[in-house]
Amino acid sequence: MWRGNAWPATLLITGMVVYGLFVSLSMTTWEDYSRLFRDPVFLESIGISLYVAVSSTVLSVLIGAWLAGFFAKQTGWTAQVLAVPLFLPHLGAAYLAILYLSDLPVIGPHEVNQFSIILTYLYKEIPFVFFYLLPVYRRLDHRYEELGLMLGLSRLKRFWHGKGVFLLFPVLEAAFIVFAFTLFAYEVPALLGVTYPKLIGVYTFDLYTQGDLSRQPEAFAISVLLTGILFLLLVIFTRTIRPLTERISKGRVE
Amino acid sequence: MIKQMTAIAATGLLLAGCASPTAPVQEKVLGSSYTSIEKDANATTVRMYMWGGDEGINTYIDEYVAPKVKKEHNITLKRVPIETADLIQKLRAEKKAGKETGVIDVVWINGDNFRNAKKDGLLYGEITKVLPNMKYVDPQAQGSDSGTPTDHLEAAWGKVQYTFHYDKASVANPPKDLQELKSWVKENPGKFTYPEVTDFTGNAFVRHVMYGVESKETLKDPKADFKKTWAYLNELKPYLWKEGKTYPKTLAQLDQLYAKGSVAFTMGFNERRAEQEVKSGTFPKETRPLVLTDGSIASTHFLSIPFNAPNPNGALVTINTLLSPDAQLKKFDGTYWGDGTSLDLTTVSSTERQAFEDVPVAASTPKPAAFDGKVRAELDPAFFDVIRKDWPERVAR
Repeated sequence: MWRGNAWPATLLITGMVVYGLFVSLSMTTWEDYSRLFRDPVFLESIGISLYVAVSSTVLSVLIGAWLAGFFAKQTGWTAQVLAVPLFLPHLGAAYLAILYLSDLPVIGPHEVNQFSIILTYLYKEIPFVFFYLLPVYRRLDHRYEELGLMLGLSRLKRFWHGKGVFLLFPVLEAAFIVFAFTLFAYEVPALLGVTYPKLIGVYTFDLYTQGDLSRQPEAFAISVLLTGILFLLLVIFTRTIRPLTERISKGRVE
Repeated sequence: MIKQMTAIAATGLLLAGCASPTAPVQEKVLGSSYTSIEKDANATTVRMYMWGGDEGINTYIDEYVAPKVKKEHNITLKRVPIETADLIQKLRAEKKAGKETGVIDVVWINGDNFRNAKKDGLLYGEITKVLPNMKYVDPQAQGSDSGTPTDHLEAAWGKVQYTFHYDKASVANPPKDLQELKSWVKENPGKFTYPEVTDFTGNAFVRHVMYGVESKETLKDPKADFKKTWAYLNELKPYLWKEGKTYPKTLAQLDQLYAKGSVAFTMGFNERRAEQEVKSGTFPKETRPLVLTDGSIASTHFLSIPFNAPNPNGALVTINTLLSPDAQLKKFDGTYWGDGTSLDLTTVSSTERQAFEDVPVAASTPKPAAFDGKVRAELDPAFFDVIRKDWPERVAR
């Protein structure tokens, strides 16, 4: 595994996020935020975006984690087939969806249930989750579960102490990355989304570019809000869950 | 967020690389004679940023205009495809960053992009005052850009009429007005739709409905409640393609649906735009034009120069060339583009006028008489905004 110095990249990315946030904040006033929360189009848009992001995240993490668990025990090249979608950009995946899904009556693009968007994300994110978790699975020590068996623990407790505590944080990390990406993405919903309600990335871009540009502050307000939400999630993850899993895995609790 | 960060990072890089030579001073360029502008433009490069979504338009620039300016003025013309709205954002960012020398020399612009550019001072100046070929340009077309006075900031490049196109094979009796259109849509569910209103053409479709159903007084007031328009569109909605649950995002998507035969109608600014598509086999052979009696909005599109153009001399010479009768004739001709001319044909020589009249017209193009008494002026840009704001809530929802 790569063990190089991550500081320059961290500094650059943090700098970009902080500066972006600073610019966005300077473009907005309280009025813009309160106007947003009175805008029914925005509220519906954020609702449908959360639905798409949450279902894409949950499904791709569950399926990706299951596949990683399955292939961790296998040797050979079969798992590498899953790497193919990783080389295709999201935009390409969306075009594939238009080409191959558009004439299926149930999951055609432009469907109100957003199935084609979710399927496109699954196609891209399951392999991501898979390759993110595969090394974790391969490092799991099976003797923990054997120990649990010897001590007469229940099936659930055996799983939790043998695998769960080691998997929890990597799974949440993968979930966070997928969620953050799918919540505010532009390309896939722009190509496959319905006219109303629009997913939040597309709605924000429209606010930013359309008409007399008087609604640009609202676009900035949305980006501030979403960055804030994601940042909050990140803080919760690192502050509460990581120490917890570390304590549990070192046996300091219970 | 990602988009925004990249934009900021890109602006940063642009600022860092700001070592290019400064552009000639604006007053000096616009104050000099055209002969000296022509001399200064010799052996320079001109970058023309324009919407790149139409192959015919692109080949017109690359295969006809670029060789022409090279031969006549030794100018190297480079075409850069870009969405016009993105281009305005780019210029706004450059203005804010105080970037005095940009990269864009000529822009293709109209409608609310022009209104925004004018409001924010993103254009070079009164360029049409120095261009000799402005003497041919139709003053009516030149005067205002969708209700915004042009004030010499841009030059009229082409003039088009909004036209519907239908497939005669599936539409035996084409509707004559909006009421008949509504009946046709109800009798043929799923065979008609229009682009959503963030699209230029889709927004104009709604303005045509306004012209057809609203009173003259209402059409003067952008703040009015366009109840009849929304009612008409809502009546259509359940019978549209996909039951109106979704609309094509762009005109290009509507054209694809029409080409595939999913819908029987397409539409757009430019009465001749179907010629090439039929010839290349994209559109059905039996494609025919349709001008409703409720009217067809005339639209003019323009050329301009950004405030920080690095080569304004070259830009002026290029625009002047594009306004010449021979360049306009080639543009009018269906070989490449088939775009209506912005020239007043009474001002050109009789041989030139004859050449315009001799250009063959395909079956998909309406005869000029089809527009008699039906030409409607473009509504104020405030209407564009009202449609964009109200349609999602009152129709699409």
